Amino acid sequence: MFENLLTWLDSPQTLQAIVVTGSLLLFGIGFYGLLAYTRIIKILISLSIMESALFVFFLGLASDPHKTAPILGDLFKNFEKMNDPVPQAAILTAIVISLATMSLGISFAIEYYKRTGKNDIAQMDALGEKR
Amino acid sequence: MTGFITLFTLLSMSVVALFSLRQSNLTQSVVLFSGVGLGSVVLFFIFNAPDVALTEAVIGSGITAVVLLIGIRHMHKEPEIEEVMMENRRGIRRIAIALLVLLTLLLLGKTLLGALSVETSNAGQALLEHAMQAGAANAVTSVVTYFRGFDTLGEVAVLFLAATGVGLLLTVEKGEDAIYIEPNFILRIGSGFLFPLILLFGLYIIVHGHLSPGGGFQGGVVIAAAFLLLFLTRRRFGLSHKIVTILESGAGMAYVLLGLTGLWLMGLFLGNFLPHPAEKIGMLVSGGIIPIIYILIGIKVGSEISYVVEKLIKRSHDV
Amino acid sequence: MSPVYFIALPLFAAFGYRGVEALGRRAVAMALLMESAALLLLAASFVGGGRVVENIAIVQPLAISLVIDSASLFFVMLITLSMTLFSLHYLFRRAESAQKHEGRYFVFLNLLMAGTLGLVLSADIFNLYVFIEITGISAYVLTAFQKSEQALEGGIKYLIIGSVASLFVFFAIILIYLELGTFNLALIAKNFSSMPGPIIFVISLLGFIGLGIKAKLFPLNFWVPDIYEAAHPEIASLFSAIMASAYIFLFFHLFYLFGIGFREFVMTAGIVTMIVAELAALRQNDMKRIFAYSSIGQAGLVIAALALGNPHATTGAFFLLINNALAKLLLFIIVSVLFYRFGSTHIDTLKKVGSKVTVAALLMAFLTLLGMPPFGGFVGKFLVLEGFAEKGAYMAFGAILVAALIEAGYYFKMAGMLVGPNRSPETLPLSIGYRSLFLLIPGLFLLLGIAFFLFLPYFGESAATLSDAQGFVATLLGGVK
Repeated sequence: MFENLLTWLDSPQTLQAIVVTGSLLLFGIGFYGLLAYTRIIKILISLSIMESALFVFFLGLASDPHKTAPILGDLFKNFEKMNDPVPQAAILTAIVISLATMSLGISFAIEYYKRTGKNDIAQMDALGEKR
Repeated sequence: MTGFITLFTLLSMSVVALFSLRQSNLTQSVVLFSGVGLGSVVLFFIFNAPDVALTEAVIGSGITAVVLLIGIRHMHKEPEIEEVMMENRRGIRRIAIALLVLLTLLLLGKTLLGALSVETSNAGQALLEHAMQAGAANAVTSVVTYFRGFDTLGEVAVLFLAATGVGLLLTVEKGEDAIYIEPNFILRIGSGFLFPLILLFGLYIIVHGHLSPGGGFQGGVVIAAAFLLLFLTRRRFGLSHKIVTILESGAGMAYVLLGLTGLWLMGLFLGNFLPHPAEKIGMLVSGGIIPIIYILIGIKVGSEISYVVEKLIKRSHDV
Repeated sequence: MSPVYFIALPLFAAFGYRGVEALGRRAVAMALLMESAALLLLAASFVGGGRVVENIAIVQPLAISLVIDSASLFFVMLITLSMTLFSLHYLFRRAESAQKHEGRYFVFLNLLMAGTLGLVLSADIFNLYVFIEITGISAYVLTAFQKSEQALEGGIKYLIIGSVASLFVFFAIILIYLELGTFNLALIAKNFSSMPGPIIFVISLLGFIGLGIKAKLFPLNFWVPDIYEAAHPEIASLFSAIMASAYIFLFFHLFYLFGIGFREFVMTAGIVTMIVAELAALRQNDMKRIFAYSSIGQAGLVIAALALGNPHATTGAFFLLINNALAKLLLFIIVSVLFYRFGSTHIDTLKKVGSKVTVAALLMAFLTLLGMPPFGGFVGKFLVLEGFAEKGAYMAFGAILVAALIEAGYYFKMAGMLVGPNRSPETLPLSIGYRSLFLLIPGLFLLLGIAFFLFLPYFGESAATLSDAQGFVATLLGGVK
């Protein structure tokens, strides 16, 4: 019974469905956080959660569990039956970019807090139409 | 087992993410958030992507959480009772948002599940056929530093921008505004012992980027983590900004010049103009310019992230 | 020469900023000026050269390529020309008032230029994402550069909005790669319609939201006035002249290349953007906000004209783009000069302007934005209206005329403060450099209006190239099957 369940979960269609629904759920949680919370740190966390969800989505669909990681070693002497390296490279790039945005966002938030004592975008009022 | 582990990890990630958002204490929120990163590390291993897993471990959940935690320490203000009340009063609005998001995602998920068909004869497979000629054992490294090296140059520029931006924002006119806690005995002695080891590990990751998972970005961040330990335990310790600048500028300019040399010699920007025979694959000296580029990136990322972490810990004036 | 230099030179200069900074007081501005002028000359050397493809690292179809054709060349020249004019202003201002963090300013300006040039040139969709991020992050920091409360608030808002936009774009790129297995624009363009319908819809929607935010399309442009207000006026000049144009190009480049069908929808969105923005501009009292809304309005008109797909309208849109870039550059530079002198950007400041050159420059900028002869704006608006009339889109035709009337409302209000009664002129010490700059830029859009027949063939060719998807695919893939 349990064996059957595990094999069913391993079949390509099920795996794809798991990755799609799971990562979209995570994406949705991040999106909810982005819309529903107003503290800057929470918003940055929400953005990061959404990014993680997209990475899982991309890699989960692009990789094939029956192939190996695209690295040669003692057992693998040529690049056959290996996973697609391009999504991995793209995600690597995106992770670094996400760190860059995050650290910049934090330093904005710190400087803003030190100047005004506010850490919430709902309290921002310096911009906008003034009569 | 792949399916089961994926399902379990994704579900726990979602739960942890939801709890992380619902926490009113930001520190706990960040700690839970790094749990989400940990979950994706597991998934990336399952998906046969050790490079990405390593990157996510050191960058996605490691240094990002550190950056967030330092930020929170600077903004140390517990939410006042009123604020928490306000947060609760927005309940109805939140439910509406949640329903809206759920509806959108149901539609999106249904569309994707019904129509998405993954193309298997893709650019990656075509690149794998060329990977032997690139001369690096790690095909991801070949893609990152060579085939799609232009992206990586841009990525380095993004990180450079962020580091310069952090330097701009967190520079105070005079004095310094540091967060510092007196370290206990074990941390003080342990950090002295661990510092060279972590540094060595970072260098190892950088130098072996073309042979095994990891490379300049991951190793550079590990090096920054070694310095982080020193910033936390030694109040007087500071980086020489002159050396940091020379390292990051020099490495960046060398990267561009390396690309231009390829243009002048081979007619291709970032072309691999050094010998990179396929027989040498797996040796430390192989792959032509690939290891050189990763070492340059390692130097640049290491100095930049160390600088960012230092600036975040002590908002000091420029030296 | 290779188009790679458009990216490599600014990157190299940015990485070496400490070296430039160490050279002396004026070195930063001089370096920026020399660099952008060199790139402008380089761009000029490509005129009439047809479509040039530069592969990076390996050969097609796997390589990332930079493609320069008459459409992208137009935008490259627009960006480098605006940057050259901006660095002239920067050089003159630098002589008067010192600024902290000069070297870092140099970094962000350079990377803003490199990022926008990359957006225009790159023919690889993931590479475009990287350039979106480079442009975005430089823009966030430039917005917050002054570190005042306003600037930081703007920076934070911009960072959040910008990250959300690029997240949506990233999602679309992921779906494209999963479906088609490539990042190459030509291959994607070739096979885009072979994807299942629902996926095409999702990708278009995600891309529309992501790029619509960046290109200031209604209703995704609510953030723009706040950012323009938060940023220093001279930075706002770059946002309006360089960044907006680059994103409009990117939007339509992908739109035509992929053959996305929502043409009517985009056109309506453009028209609505224009009307709403011009109406909002009427109520403003701050020059930065007025010009921000005016920029949104101009962008809306250009978007509507480009979505129409009529050769006249597209050519007119190119005239409008360069006209708006020059005029807004001039206006924001003047606002920044007034801001240094009077410490305010309220429209009442205009009553105090005593310098004749400045008054003349402002009036000419207003007239060309309104589309009055003999300025460049007239040619642009005339061609656009001709295009709409040819297509029989009389509703849009009428809307453009109404928008022009609304525009006239607030420009005449400001012009009244410049020349009307109740003035209290104060001296505005202007260096000889500034005087010549205030004559040079109006001269450029006057030239555009009077000698329009010189530019017409080039702009016409650019307009034709922008919508020529087959030619792009054929050249990029060359002999590759």
